[in-house]
Amino acid sequence: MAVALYLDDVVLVDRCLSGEAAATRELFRAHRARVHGCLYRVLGSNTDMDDLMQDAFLQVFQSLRRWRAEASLATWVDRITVRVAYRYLAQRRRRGITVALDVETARTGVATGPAQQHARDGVRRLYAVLDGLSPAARLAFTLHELEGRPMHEVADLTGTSVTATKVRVWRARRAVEQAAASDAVLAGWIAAGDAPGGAA
Amino acid sequence: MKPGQLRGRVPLEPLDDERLVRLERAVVSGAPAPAPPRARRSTAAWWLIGATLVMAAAVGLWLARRPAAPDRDRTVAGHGVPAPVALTPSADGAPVVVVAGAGGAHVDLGDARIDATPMTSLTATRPDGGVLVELTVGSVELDVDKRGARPPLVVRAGDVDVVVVGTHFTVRRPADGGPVEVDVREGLVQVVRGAVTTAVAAGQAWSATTGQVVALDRRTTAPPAPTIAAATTDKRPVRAAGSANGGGSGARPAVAGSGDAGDLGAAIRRQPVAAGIALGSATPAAALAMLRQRVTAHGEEAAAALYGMARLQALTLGKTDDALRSIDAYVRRFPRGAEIEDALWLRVRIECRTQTSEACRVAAHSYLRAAPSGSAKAELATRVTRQAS
Repeated sequence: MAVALYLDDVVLVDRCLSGEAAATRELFRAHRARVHGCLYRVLGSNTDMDDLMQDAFLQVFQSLRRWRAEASLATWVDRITVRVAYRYLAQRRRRGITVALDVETARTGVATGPAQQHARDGVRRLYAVLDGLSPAARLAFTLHELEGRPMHEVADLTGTSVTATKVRVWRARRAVEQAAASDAVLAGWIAAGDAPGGAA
Repeated sequence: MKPGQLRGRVPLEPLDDERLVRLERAVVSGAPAPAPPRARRSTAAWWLIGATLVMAAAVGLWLARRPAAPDRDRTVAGHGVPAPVALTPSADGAPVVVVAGAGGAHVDLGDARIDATPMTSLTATRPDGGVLVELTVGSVELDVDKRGARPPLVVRAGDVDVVVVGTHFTVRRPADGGPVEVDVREGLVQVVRGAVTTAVAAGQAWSATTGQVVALDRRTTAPPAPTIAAATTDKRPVRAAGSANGGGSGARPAVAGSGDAGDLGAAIRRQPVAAGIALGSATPAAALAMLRQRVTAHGEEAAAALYGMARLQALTLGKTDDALRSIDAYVRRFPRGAEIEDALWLRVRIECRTQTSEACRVAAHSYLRAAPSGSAKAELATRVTRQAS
Protein backbone atom coordinates (compact mmCIF):
# COMPACT_ATOMS: atom_id res chain seq x y z
CA MET A 1 0.00 0.00 0.00
CA ALA A 2 1.35 3.39 -0.91
CA VAL A 3 0.94 5.15 2.41
CA ALA A 4 2.18 8.39 0.96
CA LEU A 5 -0.88 8.54 -1.29
CA TYR A 6 -3.15 8.63 1.73
CA LEU A 7 -1.16 10.92 3.97
CA ASP A 8 -2.43 14.14 2.45
CA ASP A 9 -5.99 12.84 2.50
CA VAL A 10 -5.67 11.86 6.15
CA VAL A 11 -4.29 15.23 7.10
CA LEU A 12 -6.98 17.05 5.15
CA VAL A 13 -9.74 14.98 6.72
CA ASP A 14 -8.25 15.56 10.14
CA ARG A 15 -8.28 19.29 9.56
CA CYS A 16 -11.88 19.14 8.38
CA LEU A 17 -12.87 17.17 11.46
CA SER A 18 -11.24 19.76 13.67
CA GLY A 19 -13.62 22.31 12.19
CA GLU A 20 -11.15 24.19 10.06
CA ALA A 21 -13.15 26.08 7.45
CA ALA A 22 -10.15 26.41 5.14
CA ALA A 23 -9.82 22.62 5.04
CA THR A 24 -13.50 22.23 4.22
CA ARG A 25 -13.05 24.66 1.37
CA GLU A 26 -9.94 22.84 0.21
CA LEU A 27 -11.73 19.52 0.16
CA PHE A 28 -14.66 21.00 -1.74
CA ARG A 29 -12.39 22.56 -4.35
CA ALA A 30 -10.36 19.41 -4.74
CA HIS A 31 -13.38 17.23 -5.47
CA ARG A 32 -16.06 19.49 -6.90
CA ALA A 33 -15.08 18.77 -10.52
CA ARG A 34 -15.27 15.00 -10.12
CA VAL A 35 -18.56 15.20 -8.23
CA HIS A 36 -20.04 17.45 -10.87
CA GLY A 37 -18.70 15.30 -13.70
CA CYS A 38 -20.09 12.13 -12.22
CA LEU A 39 -23.52 13.63 -11.50
CA TYR A 40 -23.71 15.27 -14.88
CA ARG A 41 -22.97 12.09 -16.81
CA VAL A 42 -25.45 10.11 -14.77
CA LEU A 43 -28.21 12.70 -15.04
CA GLY A 44 -27.44 14.35 -18.35
CA SER A 45 -28.02 17.92 -17.28
CA ASN A 46 -27.29 20.55 -14.68
CA THR A 47 -30.89 20.72 -13.55
CA ASP A 48 -30.96 20.31 -9.78
CA MET A 49 -27.17 20.14 -9.85
CA ASP A 50 -26.70 22.71 -7.08
CA ASP A 51 -28.92 20.78 -4.72
CA LEU A 52 -27.33 17.48 -5.58
CA MET A 53 -23.76 18.69 -5.22
CA GLN A 54 -24.64 20.31 -1.95
CA ASP A 55 -26.27 17.11 -0.74
CA ALA A 56 -23.25 15.11 -1.80
CA PHE A 57 -20.72 17.34 -0.07
CA LEU A 58 -22.75 17.70 3.08
CA GLN A 59 -22.95 13.92 3.27
CA VAL A 60 -19.23 13.73 2.67
CA PHE A 61 -18.57 16.07 5.57
CA GLN A 62 -21.09 14.35 7.81
CA SER A 63 -19.51 10.98 7.21
CA LEU A 64 -15.86 11.98 7.25
CA ARG A 65 -15.46 10.46 10.70
CA ARG A 66 -16.20 7.06 9.23
CA TRP A 67 -13.52 7.32 6.56
CA ARG A 68 -10.75 4.93 7.48
CA ALA A 69 -8.30 5.53 4.66
CA GLU A 70 -9.12 2.09 3.28
CA ALA A 71 -9.71 3.76 -0.05
CA SER A 72 -8.65 7.14 -1.27
CA LEU A 73 -10.76 10.10 -0.32
CA ALA A 74 -11.70 10.48 -3.99
CA THR A 75 -13.22 7.00 -4.03
CA TRP A 76 -15.08 7.76 -0.83
CA VAL A 77 -16.47 10.94 -2.37
CA ASP A 78 -17.43 9.01 -5.51
CA ARG A 79 -19.37 6.45 -3.50
CA ILE A 80 -21.36 9.15 -1.78
CA THR A 81 -21.96 10.94 -5.07
CA VAL A 82 -23.27 7.77 -6.66
CA ARG A 83 -25.55 7.21 -3.69
CA VAL A 84 -26.92 10.74 -4.00
CA ALA A 85 -27.47 10.25 -7.73
CA TYR A 86 -29.22 6.93 -7.16
CA ARG A 87 -31.56 8.40 -4.58
CA TYR A 88 -32.37 11.31 -6.86
CA LEU A 89 -33.10 9.02 -9.80
CA ALA A 90 -35.28 6.80 -7.65
CA GLN A 91 -37.28 9.76 -6.37
CA ARG A 92 -37.67 11.17 -9.83
CA ARG A 93 -38.81 7.84 -11.16
CA ARG A 94 -41.43 7.56 -8.43
CA ARG A 95 -42.73 10.99 -9.31
CA GLY A 96 -42.60 10.28 -13.04
CA ILE A 97 -40.46 13.31 -13.79
CA THR A 98 -38.18 13.48 -16.80
CA VAL A 99 -35.55 16.11 -17.19
CA ALA A 100 -35.36 18.47 -20.13
CA LEU A 101 -31.86 17.71 -21.30
CA ASP A 102 -29.34 20.38 -22.02
CA VAL A 103 -31.38 23.25 -20.75
CA GLU A 104 -28.07 24.78 -19.82
CA THR A 105 -26.62 24.30 -23.26
CA ALA A 106 -29.64 25.84 -24.91
CA ARG A 107 -29.54 28.80 -22.59
CA THR A 108 -25.84 29.45 -22.88
CA GLY A 109 -25.86 28.79 -26.60
CA VAL A 110 -22.76 26.62 -26.51
CA ALA A 111 -23.78 24.09 -29.11
CA THR A 112 -24.85 26.01 -32.17
CA GLY A 113 -23.27 24.46 -35.28
CA PRO A 114 -24.89 21.59 -37.23
CA ALA A 115 -22.43 19.02 -35.89
CA GLN A 116 -22.93 20.18 -32.34
CA GLN A 117 -26.67 20.29 -32.85
CA HIS A 118 -26.57 16.72 -34.09
CA ALA A 119 -24.48 15.65 -31.12
CA ARG A 120 -26.83 17.41 -28.76
CA ASP A 121 -29.83 15.71 -30.30
CA GLY A 122 -28.07 12.38 -30.01
CA VAL A 123 -27.27 12.92 -26.35
CA ARG A 124 -30.83 14.01 -25.70
CA ARG A 125 -32.17 10.83 -27.30
CA LEU A 126 -29.73 8.76 -25.31
CA TYR A 127 -30.87 10.21 -22.00
CA ALA A 128 -34.49 9.83 -23.04
CA VAL A 129 -33.78 6.12 -23.34
CA LEU A 130 -31.94 6.11 -20.01
CA ASP A 131 -34.96 7.75 -18.39
CA GLY A 132 -36.83 4.53 -19.05
CA LEU A 133 -34.28 2.38 -17.23
CA SER A 134 -34.10 1.51 -13.57
CA PRO A 135 -31.86 3.81 -11.53
CA ALA A 136 -29.42 0.96 -10.91
CA ALA A 137 -29.12 0.11 -14.59
CA ARG A 138 -28.74 3.72 -15.54
CA LEU A 139 -26.01 4.24 -12.97
CA ALA A 140 -24.14 1.16 -14.07
CA PHE A 141 -24.41 2.12 -17.73
CA THR A 142 -23.40 5.75 -17.35
CA LEU A 143 -20.52 5.04 -14.98
CA HIS A 144 -19.15 2.30 -17.19
CA GLU A 145 -20.03 3.36 -20.72
CA LEU A 146 -19.98 7.13 -20.48
CA GLU A 147 -17.45 7.72 -17.70
CA GLY A 148 -15.30 4.78 -18.69
CA ARG A 149 -14.93 3.27 -15.23
CA PRO A 150 -14.05 -0.41 -15.10
CA MET A 151 -16.73 -2.90 -14.09
CA HIS A 152 -15.20 -3.72 -10.73
CA GLU A 153 -15.04 -0.04 -9.84
CA VAL A 154 -18.67 0.48 -10.83
CA ALA A 155 -19.61 -2.53 -8.73
CA ASP A 156 -17.71 -1.10 -5.80
CA LEU A 157 -19.28 2.34 -6.15
CA THR A 158 -22.80 0.99 -6.46
CA GLY A 159 -22.35 -1.64 -3.77
CA THR A 160 -23.16 -4.61 -5.98
CA SER A 161 -21.31 -7.57 -7.41
CA VAL A 162 -19.40 -7.37 -10.65
CA THR A 163 -21.76 -9.91 -12.19
CA ALA A 164 -24.84 -7.88 -11.30
CA THR A 165 -23.17 -4.80 -12.67
CA LYS A 166 -22.37 -6.52 -15.95
CA VAL A 167 -25.97 -7.64 -16.29
CA ARG A 168 -27.22 -4.11 -15.67
CA VAL A 169 -24.83 -2.61 -18.18
CA TRP A 170 -25.80 -5.23 -20.73
CA ARG A 171 -29.51 -4.57 -20.26
CA ALA A 172 -29.04 -0.84 -20.57
CA ARG A 173 -26.90 -1.27 -23.67
CA ARG A 174 -29.55 -3.48 -25.21
CA ALA A 175 -32.23 -0.87 -24.47
CA VAL A 176 -30.11 1.81 -26.14
CA GLU A 177 -29.49 -0.40 -29.16
CA GLN A 178 -33.19 -1.20 -29.50
CA ALA A 179 -34.02 2.48 -29.34
CA ALA A 180 -31.33 3.26 -31.90
CA ALA A 181 -32.83 0.70 -34.28
CA SER A 182 -35.90 2.87 -34.62
CA ASP A 183 -34.26 6.26 -34.08
CA ALA A 184 -32.01 7.46 -36.87
CA VAL A 185 -30.72 10.40 -34.86
CA LEU A 186 -29.61 8.23 -31.98
CA ALA A 187 -28.20 5.61 -34.32
CA GLY A 188 -26.32 8.28 -36.22
CA TRP A 189 -24.91 9.75 -33.06
CA ILE A 190 -23.74 6.37 -31.78
CA ALA A 191 -22.22 5.52 -35.14
CA ALA A 192 -20.41 8.86 -35.23
CA GLY A 193 -18.23 7.55 -32.45
CA ASP A 194 -16.72 5.07 -34.92
CA ALA A 195 -15.85 7.71 -37.47
CA PRO A 196 -12.42 9.36 -37.19
CA GLY A 197 -12.85 12.48 -35.11
CA GLY A 198 -16.45 11.64 -34.60
CA ALA A 199 -16.35 11.47 -30.86
CA ALA A 200 -17.31 14.69 -29.10
CA MET B 1 -22.91 -0.62 -30.04
CA LYS B 2 -19.40 -1.52 -29.03
CA PRO B 3 -18.21 -1.40 -25.43
CA GLY B 4 -16.58 1.92 -24.70
CA GLN B 5 -17.98 3.48 -27.85
CA LEU B 6 -19.76 6.21 -25.92
CA ARG B 7 -16.90 7.04 -23.59
CA GLY B 8 -16.36 10.79 -23.40
CA ARG B 9 -19.22 11.45 -25.84
CA VAL B 10 -21.36 13.43 -23.39
CA PRO B 11 -19.81 16.88 -23.16
CA LEU B 12 -19.78 18.34 -19.69
CA GLU B 13 -21.65 21.60 -19.23
CA PRO B 14 -19.60 23.48 -16.64
CA LEU B 15 -21.18 25.33 -13.76
CA ASP B 16 -20.66 29.04 -13.85
CA ASP B 17 -18.53 30.75 -11.22
CA GLU B 18 -21.49 32.30 -9.45
CA ARG B 19 -23.08 28.93 -8.85
CA LEU B 20 -19.80 27.47 -7.71
CA VAL B 21 -19.21 30.29 -5.25
CA ARG B 22 -22.73 29.92 -3.89
CA LEU B 23 -22.26 26.19 -3.59
CA GLU B 24 -18.94 26.53 -1.87
CA ARG B 25 -20.37 28.99 0.60
CA ALA B 26 -23.31 26.73 1.32
CA VAL B 27 -21.14 23.66 1.70
CA VAL B 28 -18.52 25.33 3.87
CA SER B 29 -21.06 26.92 6.15
CA GLY B 30 -23.15 23.77 6.17
CA ALA B 31 -26.18 25.85 5.26
CA PRO B 32 -28.49 25.35 2.27
CA ALA B 33 -27.77 27.38 -0.83
CA PRO B 34 -29.40 30.76 -0.50
CA ALA B 35 -31.36 31.02 -3.71
CA PRO B 36 -31.96 27.86 -5.72
CA PRO B 37 -35.23 28.63 -7.50
CA ARG B 38 -37.09 25.43 -6.78
CA ALA B 39 -40.78 25.26 -5.93
CA ARG B 40 -40.47 22.27 -3.61
CA ARG B 41 -38.07 24.17 -1.40
CA SER B 42 -39.35 27.69 -1.76
CA THR B 43 -41.95 27.63 0.99
CA ALA B 44 -39.60 26.38 3.68
CA ALA B 45 -36.83 28.66 2.45
CA TRP B 46 -39.02 31.74 2.59
CA TRP B 47 -40.21 30.86 6.07
CA LEU B 48 -36.59 30.46 7.14
CA ILE B 49 -35.56 33.78 5.59
CA GLY B 50 -38.56 35.52 7.13
CA ALA B 51 -37.85 34.15 10.57
CA THR B 52 -34.20 35.17 10.30
CA LEU B 53 -35.13 38.71 9.25
CA VAL B 54 -37.59 39.06 12.10
CA MET B 55 -34.99 37.88 14.59
CA ALA B 56 -32.35 40.22 13.14
CA ALA B 57 -34.78 43.14 13.35
CA ALA B 58 -35.61 42.30 16.96
CA VAL B 59 -31.94 42.11 17.91
CA GLY B 60 -31.23 45.39 16.08
CA LEU B 61 -34.10 47.10 17.86
CA TRP B 62 -32.89 45.84 21.21
CA LEU B 63 -29.36 47.06 20.53
CA ALA B 64 -30.58 50.46 19.36
CA ARG B 65 -32.70 51.00 22.45
CA ARG B 66 -30.11 49.72 24.89
CA PRO B 67 -28.43 52.51 26.89
CA ALA B 68 -24.83 53.19 25.86
CA ALA B 69 -22.29 51.50 28.10
CA PRO B 70 -18.95 53.24 27.62
CA ASP B 71 -17.21 51.04 30.15
CA ARG B 72 -17.83 47.82 28.30
CA ASP B 73 -15.43 46.15 25.90
CA ARG B 74 -16.03 47.22 22.34
CA THR B 75 -15.78 44.38 19.94
CA VAL B 76 -17.42 45.99 16.92
CA ALA B 77 -16.25 49.32 15.54
CA GLY B 78 -18.80 52.04 16.18
CA HIS B 79 -21.07 49.74 18.12
CA GLY B 80 -23.08 51.59 20.75
CA VAL B 81 -21.69 55.02 19.91
CA PRO B 82 -23.41 57.80 17.93
CA ALA B 83 -21.15 58.73 15.03
CA PRO B 84 -17.47 57.88 15.18
CA VAL B 85 -15.09 60.52 13.89
CA ALA B 86 -12.92 59.39 11.00
CA LEU B 87 -9.43 60.86 10.88
CA THR B 88 -6.55 60.13 8.57
CA PRO B 89 -3.01 61.20 9.37
CA SER B 90 -1.49 63.75 7.04
CA ALA B 91 0.88 62.59 4.36
CA ASP B 92 3.86 64.35 5.87
CA GLY B 93 3.76 62.02 8.85
CA ALA B 94 2.71 64.64 11.36
CA PRO B 95 1.25 63.10 14.49
CA VAL B 96 -2.48 62.65 14.76
CA VAL B 97 -3.77 63.56 18.17
CA VAL B 98 -7.16 62.12 18.97
CA VAL B 99 -9.27 63.03 21.93
CA ALA B 100 -12.45 61.08 21.43
CA GLY B 101 -15.68 62.66 22.51
CA ALA B 102 -18.84 60.93 23.58
CA GLY B 103 -19.15 59.35 20.13
CA GLY B 104 -15.76 57.67 20.17
CA ALA B 105 -13.35 58.00 17.25
CA HIS B 106 -12.24 56.03 14.26
CA VAL B 107 -8.76 56.53 12.83
CA ASP B 108 -7.89 54.97 9.50
CA LEU B 109 -4.13 54.80 9.04
CA GLY B 110 -4.38 52.95 5.77
CA ASP B 111 -2.70 49.81 7.01
CA ALA B 112 -4.46 49.84 10.37
CA ARG B 113 -7.80 50.96 11.70
CA ILE B 114 -8.23 52.18 15.22
CA ASP B 115 -11.52 52.45 17.04
CA ALA B 116 -11.30 54.45 20.22
CA THR B 117 -14.00 54.33 22.87
CA PRO B 118 -15.50 57.59 24.15
CA MET B 119 -13.11 59.79 26.10
CA THR B 120 -10.04 57.99 24.81
CA SER B 121 -6.92 60.04 24.12
CA LEU B 122 -4.18 58.88 21.81
CA THR B 123 -1.44 60.08 19.48
CA ALA B 124 -0.60 58.22 16.26
CA THR B 125 2.74 58.74 14.50
CA ARG B 126 4.76 56.93 11.86
CA PRO B 127 8.35 56.73 13.04
CA ASP B 128 10.69 54.99 10.57
CA GLY B 129 7.89 53.51 8.52
CA GLY B 130 6.26 51.87 11.53
CA VAL B 131 3.20 53.00 13.40
CA LEU B 132 3.29 54.15 16.99
CA VAL B 133 0.02 54.63 18.81
CA GLU B 134 0.59 56.22 22.20
CA LEU B 135 -2.45 55.58 24.33
CA THR B 136 -2.78 58.25 26.96
CA VAL B 137 -5.99 56.94 28.39
CA GLY B 138 -8.99 54.93 27.38
CA SER B 139 -9.43 51.91 25.19
CA VAL B 140 -8.54 51.30 21.56
CA GLU B 141 -9.44 48.41 19.34
CA LEU B 142 -7.18 47.85 16.36
CA ASP B 143 -7.57 45.96 13.14
CA VAL B 144 -4.09 45.74 11.63
CA ASP B 145 -3.23 44.44 8.16
CA LYS B 146 -0.37 42.00 7.96
CA ARG B 147 2.77 44.07 8.01
CA GLY B 148 5.06 41.71 6.15
CA ALA B 149 8.54 43.17 6.04
CA ARG B 150 7.43 46.61 7.24
CA PRO B 151 8.36 47.78 10.72
CA PRO B 152 5.79 46.75 13.30
CA LEU B 153 2.88 48.68 14.71
CA VAL B 154 3.33 49.44 18.36
CA VAL B 155 0.71 50.52 20.85
CA ARG B 156 2.34 52.12 23.85
CA ALA B 157 0.32 52.37 27.04
CA GLY B 158 2.55 53.76 29.75
CA ASP B 159 5.40 51.34 30.23
CA VAL B 160 3.73 48.63 28.20
CA ASP B 161 4.45 48.20 24.49
CA VAL B 162 2.22 45.97 22.40
CA VAL B 163 4.12 44.98 19.25
CA VAL B 164 1.91 43.92 16.38
CA VAL B 165 2.60 42.15 13.14
CA GLY B 166 -0.96 41.90 11.86
CA THR B 167 -3.91 41.16 14.07
CA HIS B 168 -7.05 42.38 15.81
CA PHE B 169 -6.79 43.32 19.44
CA THR B 170 -7.76 45.77 22.18
CA VAL B 171 -5.57 47.74 24.59
CA ARG B 172 -7.02 49.46 27.64
CA ARG B 173 -5.29 52.00 29.84
CA PRO B 174 -7.48 53.16 32.72
CA ALA B 175 -7.34 56.77 33.86
CA ASP B 176 -6.99 55.83 37.51
CA GLY B 177 -3.62 54.22 36.89
CA GLY B 178 -5.10 50.74 36.92
CA PRO B 179 -3.39 47.92 35.05
CA VAL B 180 -3.06 48.00 31.28
CA GLU B 181 -4.96 45.15 29.64
CA VAL B 182 -4.61 43.56 26.22
CA ASP B 183 -7.18 41.30 24.55
CA VAL B 184 -6.22 39.55 21.31
CA ARG B 185 -8.92 38.28 18.99
CA GLU B 186 -6.89 37.40 15.88
CA GLY B 187 -3.23 36.77 15.20
CA LEU B 188 -0.60 37.32 17.85
CA VAL B 189 1.02 40.30 19.55
CA GLN B 190 4.02 40.68 21.76
CA VAL B 191 3.57 42.62 24.94
CA VAL B 192 6.87 44.20 25.96
CA ARG B 193 7.15 45.51 29.48
CA GLY B 194 10.64 46.42 30.57
CA ALA B 195 12.83 43.44 29.78
CA VAL B 196 9.95 40.99 29.64
CA THR B 197 8.31 40.00 26.36
CA THR B 198 5.10 38.02 26.45
CA ALA B 199 3.40 36.58 23.39
CA VAL B 200 -0.38 36.87 23.48
CA ALA B 201 -2.18 34.77 20.91
CA ALA B 202 -5.71 34.91 19.55
CA GLY B 203 -8.27 34.14 22.23
CA GLN B 204 -5.93 35.27 25.00
CA ALA B 205 -5.72 38.29 27.25
CA TRP B 206 -2.86 39.86 29.17
CA SER B 207 -3.03 42.11 32.19
CA ALA B 208 -0.27 44.24 33.70
CA THR B 209 -1.50 43.18 37.13
CA THR B 210 -0.11 39.70 36.86
CA GLY B 211 1.92 39.96 33.69
CA GLN B 212 0.39 36.64 32.72
CA VAL B 213 -1.60 35.37 29.79
CA VAL B 214 -5.07 33.97 30.36
CA ALA B 215 -7.80 32.77 28.07
CA LEU B 216 -9.90 35.68 26.87
CA ASP B 217 -13.15 34.14 28.03
CA ARG B 218 -11.73 33.55 31.51
CA ARG B 219 -10.79 37.17 32.08
CA THR B 220 -13.28 38.72 34.48
CA THR B 221 -11.69 42.07 35.20
CA ALA B 222 -14.01 44.86 34.06
CA PRO B 223 -12.25 47.82 32.49
CA PRO B 224 -12.45 50.97 34.58
CA ALA B 225 -14.16 54.06 33.20
CA PRO B 226 -11.66 56.09 31.17
CA THR B 227 -11.11 59.80 31.65
CA ILE B 228 -8.74 62.19 29.94
CA ALA B 229 -5.32 62.35 31.50
CA ALA B 230 -2.00 63.98 30.75
CA ALA B 231 -0.07 62.64 27.77
CA THR B 232 2.69 60.18 28.41
CA THR B 233 6.23 61.48 28.37
CA ASP B 234 7.66 58.15 27.36
CA LYS B 235 9.55 58.84 24.12
CA ARG B 236 11.23 55.54 23.45
CA PRO B 237 11.56 54.68 19.77
CA VAL B 238 9.53 51.93 18.18
CA ARG B 239 11.27 48.61 18.51
CA ALA B 240 11.84 46.54 15.43
CA ALA B 241 10.27 43.07 15.40
CA GLY B 242 13.68 41.51 15.68
CA SER B 243 14.54 43.43 18.81
CA ALA B 244 11.27 42.43 20.36
CA ASN B 245 12.34 38.88 19.78
CA GLY B 246 15.62 39.44 21.43
CA GLY B 247 17.44 39.82 18.14
CA GLY B 248 19.31 43.05 18.80
CA SER B 249 17.89 45.10 21.62
CA GLY B 250 19.90 45.68 24.73
CA ALA B 251 17.31 44.16 26.97
CA ARG B 252 17.04 40.43 26.58
CA PRO B 253 13.39 39.48 26.48
CA ALA B 254 12.45 36.79 28.92
CA VAL B 255 9.80 34.17 28.54
CA ALA B 256 6.98 35.25 30.73
CA GLY B 257 3.48 34.35 31.69
CA SER B 258 3.19 30.63 31.46
CA GLY B 259 -0.26 30.93 32.99
CA ASP B 260 -2.21 29.51 30.08
CA ALA B 261 0.26 27.83 27.86
CA GLY B 262 -2.31 25.25 26.92
CA ASP B 263 -4.07 27.93 24.89
CA LEU B 264 -0.90 28.66 22.98
CA GLY B 265 -0.54 24.97 22.28
CA ALA B 266 -4.10 24.81 21.06
CA ALA B 267 -3.50 27.85 18.89
CA ILE B 268 -0.39 26.29 17.41
CA ARG B 269 -2.17 23.00 16.73
CA ARG B 270 -5.03 24.82 14.99
CA GLN B 271 -2.82 26.52 12.44
CA PRO B 272 -2.18 24.89 9.07
CA VAL B 273 1.38 26.14 9.20
CA ALA B 274 1.43 25.84 12.91
CA ALA B 275 4.35 27.85 14.01
CA GLY B 276 3.39 30.65 11.64
CA ILE B 277 1.14 31.84 14.39
CA ALA B 278 4.13 32.70 16.43
CA LEU B 279 4.85 35.82 14.46
CA GLY B 280 2.04 36.16 11.95
CA SER B 281 3.60 37.32 8.72
CA ALA B 282 7.15 37.62 10.04
CA THR B 283 9.82 35.41 8.54
CA PRO B 284 9.85 31.71 9.42
CA ALA B 285 13.34 32.19 10.80
CA ALA B 286 12.07 34.83 13.23
CA ALA B 287 9.20 32.58 14.23
CA LEU B 288 11.63 29.75 14.77
CA ALA B 289 13.84 31.98 16.92
CA MET B 290 10.92 32.96 19.05
CA LEU B 291 9.76 29.39 19.50
CA ARG B 292 13.28 28.26 20.31
CA GLN B 293 13.36 30.89 23.04
CA ARG B 294 10.15 29.56 24.52
CA VAL B 295 11.45 26.02 24.47
CA THR B 296 13.85 26.96 27.24
CA ALA B 297 10.90 27.46 29.58
CA HIS B 298 9.16 24.64 31.38
CA GLY B 299 5.80 22.98 31.21
CA GLU B 300 3.10 23.21 28.60
CA GLU B 301 4.41 26.39 27.05
CA ALA B 302 7.75 24.79 26.22
CA ALA B 303 5.98 21.69 24.90
CA ALA B 304 3.79 23.75 22.59
CA ALA B 305 6.80 25.70 21.38
CA LEU B 306 8.82 22.55 20.71
CA TYR B 307 6.00 21.03 18.70
CA GLY B 308 5.59 24.34 16.88
CA MET B 309 9.28 24.26 16.02
CA ALA B 310 8.96 20.76 14.60
CA ARG B 311 6.02 21.76 12.42
CA LEU B 312 7.72 24.90 11.24
CA GLN B 313 10.86 22.98 10.38
CA ALA B 314 9.00 20.20 8.60
CA LEU B 315 6.18 21.98 6.81
CA THR B 316 7.48 25.48 6.22
CA LEU B 317 11.25 25.27 6.11
CA GLY B 318 11.50 21.76 4.68
CA LYS B 319 14.18 20.84 7.23
CA THR B 320 12.90 17.38 7.98
CA ASP B 321 16.05 16.25 9.81
CA ASP B 322 15.76 19.21 12.17
CA ALA B 323 12.07 18.50 12.55
CA LEU B 324 12.74 14.87 13.47
CA ARG B 325 15.23 16.02 16.09
CA SER B 326 12.65 18.42 17.51
CA ILE B 327 10.08 15.64 17.62
CA ASP B 328 12.52 13.33 19.38
CA ALA B 329 13.23 16.08 21.88
CA TYR B 330 9.52 16.55 22.41
CA VAL B 331 8.94 12.84 22.98
CA ARG B 332 11.81 12.69 25.47
CA ARG B 333 10.80 15.81 27.40
CA PHE B 334 7.05 15.63 27.20
CA PRO B 335 5.93 12.02 26.75
CA ARG B 336 2.52 13.01 28.09
CA GLY B 337 2.41 16.44 26.49
CA ALA B 338 -0.74 17.81 24.92
CA GLU B 339 0.86 17.65 21.48
CA ILE B 340 2.32 14.15 21.75
CA GLU B 341 -0.13 12.59 19.31
CA ASP B 342 0.31 15.41 16.82
CA ALA B 343 4.08 15.25 17.16
CA LEU B 344 4.14 11.51 16.54
CA TRP B 345 1.83 11.89 13.56
CA LEU B 346 4.15 14.53 12.19
CA ARG B 347 6.92 11.95 12.37
CA VAL B 348 4.75 9.52 10.41
CA ARG B 349 4.17 12.18 7.78
CA ILE B 350 7.87 12.83 7.46
CA GLU B 351 9.06 9.24 7.50
CA CYS B 352 6.33 7.81 5.29
CA ARG B 353 6.34 10.61 2.76
CA THR B 354 8.26 8.78 0.09
CA GLN B 355 8.14 5.10 0.95
CA THR B 356 7.07 2.63 3.58
CA SER B 357 10.53 2.24 5.05
CA GLU B 358 11.54 0.77 8.37
CA ALA B 359 11.64 4.28 9.82
CA CYS B 360 8.09 4.81 8.58
CA ARG B 361 6.91 1.64 10.30
CA VAL B 362 8.68 2.60 13.53
CA ALA B 363 7.03 6.02 13.39
CA ALA B 364 3.64 4.39 12.84
CA HIS B 365 4.23 2.07 15.81
CA SER B 366 5.09 5.02 18.03
CA TYR B 367 2.07 6.90 16.84
CA LEU B 368 -0.28 4.01 17.57
CA ARG B 369 0.95 3.79 21.14
CA ALA B 370 -0.17 7.37 21.76
CA ALA B 371 -3.15 7.68 19.45
CA PRO B 372 -6.73 6.73 20.17
CA SER B 373 -7.90 3.86 18.03
CA GLY B 374 -10.59 4.29 15.45
CA SER B 375 -9.39 7.39 13.67
CA ALA B 376 -8.38 7.36 10.04
CA LYS B 377 -4.83 8.19 11.05
CA ALA B 378 -4.73 5.23 13.42
CA GLU B 379 -6.15 2.92 10.77
CA LEU B 380 -3.54 4.03 8.31
CA ALA B 381 -0.76 3.64 10.84
CA THR B 382 -2.04 0.17 11.70
CA ARG B 383 -1.88 -0.89 8.09
CA VAL B 384 1.64 0.44 7.82
CA THR B 385 2.74 -1.59 10.82
CA ARG B 386 1.06 -4.72 9.47
CA GLN B 387 3.17 -4.45 6.37
CA ALA B 388 6.20 -5.04 8.52
CA SER B 389 5.03 -8.39 9.80
